[in-house]
Amino acid sequence: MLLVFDISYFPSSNLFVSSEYMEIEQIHNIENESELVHKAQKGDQRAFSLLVKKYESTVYSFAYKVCRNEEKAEETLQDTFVNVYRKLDQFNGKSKFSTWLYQIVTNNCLMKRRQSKLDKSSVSIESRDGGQEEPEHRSDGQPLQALVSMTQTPQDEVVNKELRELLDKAILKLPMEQRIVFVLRDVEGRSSEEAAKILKVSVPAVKSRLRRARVFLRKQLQEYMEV
Amino acid sequence: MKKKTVNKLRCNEVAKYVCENLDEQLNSRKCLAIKKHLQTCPKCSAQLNSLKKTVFLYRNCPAPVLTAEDHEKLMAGLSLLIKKK
Repeated sequence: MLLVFDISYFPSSNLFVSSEYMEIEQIHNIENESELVHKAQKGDQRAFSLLVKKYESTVYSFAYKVCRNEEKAEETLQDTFVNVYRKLDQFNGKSKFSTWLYQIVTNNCLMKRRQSKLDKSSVSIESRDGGQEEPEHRSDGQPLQALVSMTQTPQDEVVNKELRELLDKAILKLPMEQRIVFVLRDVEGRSSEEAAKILKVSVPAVKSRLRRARVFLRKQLQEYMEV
Repeated sequence: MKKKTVNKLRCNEVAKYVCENLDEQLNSRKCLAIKKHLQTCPKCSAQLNSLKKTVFLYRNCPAPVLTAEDHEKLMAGLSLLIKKK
């Protein structure tokens, strides 16, 4: 029996510009990943460049979804591949390359948070559990209520912009550890087991952080949901 | 009074389970019990739906796209690093 809570999968938006898409397909066809990694470890710069090309959008997208800031995402992208280059010989192939890469990105996100004190507005989920959240309102004082629409009117665009801001604001209130788990599991679609490997914590710890994150975000968006 | 407490505990348990296993494909007796509970409890059912909506919104929230220019900038920075090494 499949669990009834199964959510339909909504693939992330295509992060590659169309002109690059063919090239990425070629990368997949010509060389498999372990060969690329092995060559890059031996100092093959072309292989390293192909690895960068293959994963740069994944890294940037993940960093943006965690930091909710383009500049920070770009910095994280740079820092991540600098670290990948420097530490590539430490990758032993026991895990997937993407898992190892996510470990580096998440570490960089955590470091960036520490550096910029991004999370100074973070709050303890436990302290808020059961508490009443401040309802979110539009600039004209009305509650947010429109869903993202395929046929947008100018008014929809304003509301959607406000919805995005509400989503950003809510997720930025999450402690970074919970935010990363939420993005890995619910936004990127990684399994609990992989998230646990990436974060070097147990699966129950991942589930616990995810539960807290989901409950917190739902509460933050509660008024929007009810309309 | 006792019944109410039991129901409340049950809803809490359901909420915890649902929040932890929202998109997991599980096959257990507990899963079946949760499913039954959700069919008869409007509160838990509503919470599940709002949880799904929350995840849906974040999954579909537009994110900026990495451009060819960004790629060139990244590669230029990495080339300098490689040359130094």
